This record gives sequence, structure tokens and C-alpha cells, in this order.
Amino acid sequence: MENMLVGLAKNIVKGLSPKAEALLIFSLVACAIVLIWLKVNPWLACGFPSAAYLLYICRAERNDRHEVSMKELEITQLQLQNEVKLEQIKAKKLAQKKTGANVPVRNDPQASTKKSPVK
Amino acid sequence: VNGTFTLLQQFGAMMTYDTQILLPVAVAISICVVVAAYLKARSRRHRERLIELTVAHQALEAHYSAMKTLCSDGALSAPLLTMLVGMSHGLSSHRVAQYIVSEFTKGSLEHKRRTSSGDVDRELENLRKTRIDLYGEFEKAMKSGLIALLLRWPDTASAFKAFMAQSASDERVEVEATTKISRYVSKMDHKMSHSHSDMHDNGMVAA
Repeated sequence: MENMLVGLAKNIVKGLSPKAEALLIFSLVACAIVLIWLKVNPWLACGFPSAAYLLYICRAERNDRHEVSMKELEITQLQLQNEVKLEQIKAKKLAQKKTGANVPVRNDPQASTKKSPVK
Repeated sequence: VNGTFTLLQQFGAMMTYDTQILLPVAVAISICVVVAAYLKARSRRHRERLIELTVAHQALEAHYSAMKTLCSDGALSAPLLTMLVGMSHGLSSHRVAQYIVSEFTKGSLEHKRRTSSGDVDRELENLRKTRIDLYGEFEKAMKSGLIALLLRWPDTASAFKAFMAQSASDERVEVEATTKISRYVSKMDHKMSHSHSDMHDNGMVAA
């Protein structure tokens, strides 16, 4: 009898092992049944596994939200890194093209004091 | 089999004699289902948003790589360069994204209501004839910039599919959108510099 139950549990665990959440739900349901079987207060027996499951889901949701914020930060960082460079390159190129014109370079305080290359 | 049957009988007997046990079970299952459904829906939205942001990140990388190639090559004319850099400058602004989506929903990017000058078209045609490699980079910078701009913000990401569908059927939509973005960014810069100079005149910056 015990061997059969252990074998059954092993098979179920083996089948559910790729899905962590399903495995967790199975083990928590088994835990609740055992607690009820042991005549523990039924509110406690059901409340403990429920609380554990809800904590797991909350944590997973917070993890997803954190990943989104990290990605947003990554994008902002990439934009900040490249914007300044592009503005400087553009200003240089435009200054080369418009010969004689004094084009101010963004983020370059010396640009306004530069003399135009050709008059 | 007999053992299992006995076990089930015992459990059934316990459930029969103590029906009060059903109440906590029902309450626990109900709370778990409701809260889990809510949190799962939020998780799904976060995962979808993460996919959008990953695509936006890749598009931004492609945009900046194309921009570097275009800027380091001297063959690109000043109007095209100014247009692209203006667009690149506006990629980080939420207002620019909202503006382009509103223009798109109003139908301002459609063929009949276009306002872009022929200069850009001529320059583009010229570029396509003389430097096809740079023309490819120009298109890449434009497309990837628009993808990044639309997918960067959650409220504008919903317009992404419709925008891409229209741009697939009409290539000029992207050029029109880029021109509008560039003009809008230059207007914003102009306003900001004006307000800054006003503040300077009033002595607020010095204070």
C-alpha cells in the first residue's frame, strides 16, 4: 500500500517536474491533505498552503515587473550614450558642409568660440 | 487496491462526519483562484511588455548603428542628415511618440494629406541612385527608429501593428513620419530654448 502510494507520488512528481508551478501546487495540495488527515485545525491546514502559493505568485509577478523596469533602464542608458555622440557627429558634419558658417555644437561649450573655417 | 480503497473509505468517512472541513477548503480555493488569476494577468502583461521592450532595444541598437554609418560617411546631404538626427533626438521623448500616433490616427500620414517638401524626396532619390548602400542604411535607421519610438512607451505600442501594416503598403509613410518627427523635435527645441532665454532674461536662472 505504502509502496504503491510512494510510486504514484514519484510518477506524478516526475511528470510535473518540468513545470515548477504545477509541482508546487501538487505538493501544497498534498501538504493540505496530510494536515487535514492529521486533524490539524482545517483553517490552518488550508491557509498555510494557500498563503505559500500566493506568496510564490506575488514573487513571480514582482520578478516580471522588475525585468521590465531593468529593460527600460537599459533602453534609457543606450539612448543617453548615443544621443550625445550623434549630436556631436552631426554638428561636425554640418559644419564641414556649410563652409563659412559657424555651427554651434550641442554639449560642446567651446563650439560657440570656434572660428568658422573658411570665410 | 484494497489498501487504496480502505484509505479512500476512511477519507470519505472523515468528510462525511466532519462537513465543516469543506468551508476552509472552499474559501482557500476561491481566494487562491481569484488572486492568482489577477496576478497571472498582470504577469502576462509584464511579459508582453518585456517582449516589446526587447524589440525596442534591438531596434534602437540597429538605429544607432545605421546612424553611425550614415554620420561617419560624408555623402549624406544636410537635409537628410538633419532629418535623421532630429528623429534620433526625439526617440527618447514620450511626447514625440504620442504626437506621431495622433498624426497617424488622424490620417495625416496618408497620401492625400502629406505636407513634406519635395526636397527630401529629391535627395532620397539622388541617394538611391548614387549610393545604394547608404540608402539601405538610411531606410534601416528610419524603420528601426520608428519601431523603437512606438514600442518604447506602453500607450503608443498599441498603434505599432496598425502603423507597420500601413507602412508595408505605402513606403512613403515612414519618410513622412520621420519628417514630421524631425519638425516636431526642432519646434520643441526652439520652444525650450526660447523659454530658457526668457528665464535668463527674467533673472530666474541666475537666482
